Formats: sequence, C-alpha cells, structure tokens
Amino acid sequence: MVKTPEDIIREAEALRRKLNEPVERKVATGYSEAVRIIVEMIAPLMVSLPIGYYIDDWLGTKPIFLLVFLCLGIATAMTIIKRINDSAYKTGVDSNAGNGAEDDTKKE
Amino acid sequence: MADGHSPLDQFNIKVIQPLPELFGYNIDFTNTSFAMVLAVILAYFFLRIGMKNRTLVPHRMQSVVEVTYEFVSNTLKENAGEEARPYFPVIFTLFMFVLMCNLLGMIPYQFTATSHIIVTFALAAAVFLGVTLIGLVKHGIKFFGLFLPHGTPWWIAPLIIIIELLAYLSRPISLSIRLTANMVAGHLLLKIVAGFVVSMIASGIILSIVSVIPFALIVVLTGFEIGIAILHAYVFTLLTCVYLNDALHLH
Repeated sequence: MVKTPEDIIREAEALRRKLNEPVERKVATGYSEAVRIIVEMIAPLMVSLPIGYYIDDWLGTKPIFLLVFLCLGIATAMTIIKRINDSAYKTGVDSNAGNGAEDDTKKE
Repeated sequence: MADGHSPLDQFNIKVIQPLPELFGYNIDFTNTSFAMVLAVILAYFFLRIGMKNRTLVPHRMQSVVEVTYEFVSNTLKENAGEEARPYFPVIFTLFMFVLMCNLLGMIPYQFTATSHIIVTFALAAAVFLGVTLIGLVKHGIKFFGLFLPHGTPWWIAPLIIIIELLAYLSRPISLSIRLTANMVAGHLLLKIVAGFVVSMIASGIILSIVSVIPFALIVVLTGFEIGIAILHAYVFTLLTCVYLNDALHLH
C-alpha cells in the first residue's frame, strides 16, 4: 500500500493530537485506591493524637485534649476523604490529587 | 513455624559492619544501608550506561533512560507547572532512588529498604520540609493562607485552620505509610503463598499436586509486585510534585 502525502499528513495530525491529549492517569487500581483511603484515614490521627496527648501531659488535663484532638483528627480525615472523592468525581477515578491538592485549583 | 522462616523474617535488620557510635547514635552499616547504597550505585550505572554512546536515534538502553527522564519530566510539568523546573533534579533523584529500592526488593535474597517506615518517612519528611521552606521563602507570610481556603465564614475559621494544619502535617505520614504499606503487604503475600507451596509438598502426594495452584499464583503476584514497585515510586514522585505545586501556587 502506497501512502499519499495526504495520508501521511493525516497520520501525523492524528499522532500530534494524541501527543497533546492530556495523559490519562489510570494508575489507581481498586487495591491501591483502598490502601490510599485507609492511609489517609489513619495519618491525621497519627498527627493529632500525639499532639493531644502531649498537650494533656503538659497541662495536666487528661484526657480533655486527647479527646478534642481525636475529634479534630477524625474531622481532618473526613475532609481529606471528601476531597479525594470530589476530585475522583470530577476527573474520573485517578490518584492524582493528594490531600490538600485540588484539581480545579490548578487550572485557575 | 521454624525459626528464621517466618514471613516477617525478610524485614529483619542485620548488622553487616558494626561501627562506633556517633554522638550517641547507632550508625552500624546494616543490610538496609547496603540496599540503599546498592540502589544509588544501580541508579548511577543505569543512567551512565544508558547515556554512554549517545546517538540521535537512541539504542535500547538509551531509550529506557530517556523514557524514564521524560516520564518524570512530564509528571513534574503537568502537576507543578514550569516554575517547578528548578526542582527537577531533586524530583528525579527521588524517583530513581525509590524505584531502585523498590525493584531491588524483587530480587531474591535482597532487602527492601522502602519496607521500613523510617526510610520512607525520612524521605517524606525531607520532601515536606523542603516544600514548606520553598513555600515560605517564595511567599513569605502569605504562605499561611494555605491553611484558610477562600470564602470561609469567620466563625468557622479557627476550626478550619486547625483541620487544614492537621491535614498538612499528616502529608509526610500518609506519603511514607503508603509506600511502606504497599511494599510490606506485597512481600508478605509473596512469602506466605510461597510458604503454602512448601508445606503442601511436605504433606503428601495429593497436596503436592494441588500446590501447583499457589505456585502459579506466585508467578502472577511477582509480576504484580513489580508493577506495584514501579507504580509506588511514581505515586511518591507524583505526590511530591503535587505538594510542590501547592507551595509554588497558593490559591
């Protein structure tokens, strides 16, 4: 089969379009998404619980601050997971946005 | 299970070369250190050999190196923009190091340095501190605006600030745990399934025929595990880029 110049131009055009398309990031399999959600749920607690514990230790107010920071940690985890959920709905499931990073803020 | 054959045994730290203490800290040269040194050397030779005889039309080794380079370069550009270009060497080094550590763990009798949370946490903490410093230097006091999204009602602002601060502080932890958890889980699974094969063969003819099934599973899992190793090196790099983007472009 002999290619005419028009064919080649068309092919080159198609290739260029393919090159300029945003790379579809389908790195998130179900498993890694699950691990990710679990980790994002635990991580804020691993920050907030020691903070609460040591404030209690320091002020001698056991267990008030521990409980306060437990609630704050859970709230943070929920915020982060809501963000992951939002960005997953917006762009299709991908593992692009980490916590605190929104896809839409990048485009602004 | 017999001594030294627990699935967790592969994560034990063994001292290779005892060294004197430095400022009260133990600085023995262990198998973790060895794996990391090996990872650095491997990364060096991988890039070095790939770039030795450069040609315009790349040969095989060269194109692998070029693909790696462009892959990281594109990740950085898409996720952190052109302003992040000066930080490319750091990101690329990080990617190569984590990738080599992960892949080294797939070689039998090798040690996976990234399966220890202290290693990944040190990397993540370095990234976190670096990114925070970049943000502070670039934006000064305005950097703290990161913790207060636009349009927050004033009466809820204190709560939001604390939550955003906690979310920010939990980044290095989630970054490091994710890498470690994936590495540990995969390697444990491999060892456990491999243990099935051995104990099935040991316990009779019928079971030793059935043991082909877990053996086939190991083959699949090994391929899957190599995929996970590359994927999580990528995820680590990607999240570093995303955090860098946050620090460079405040919203």
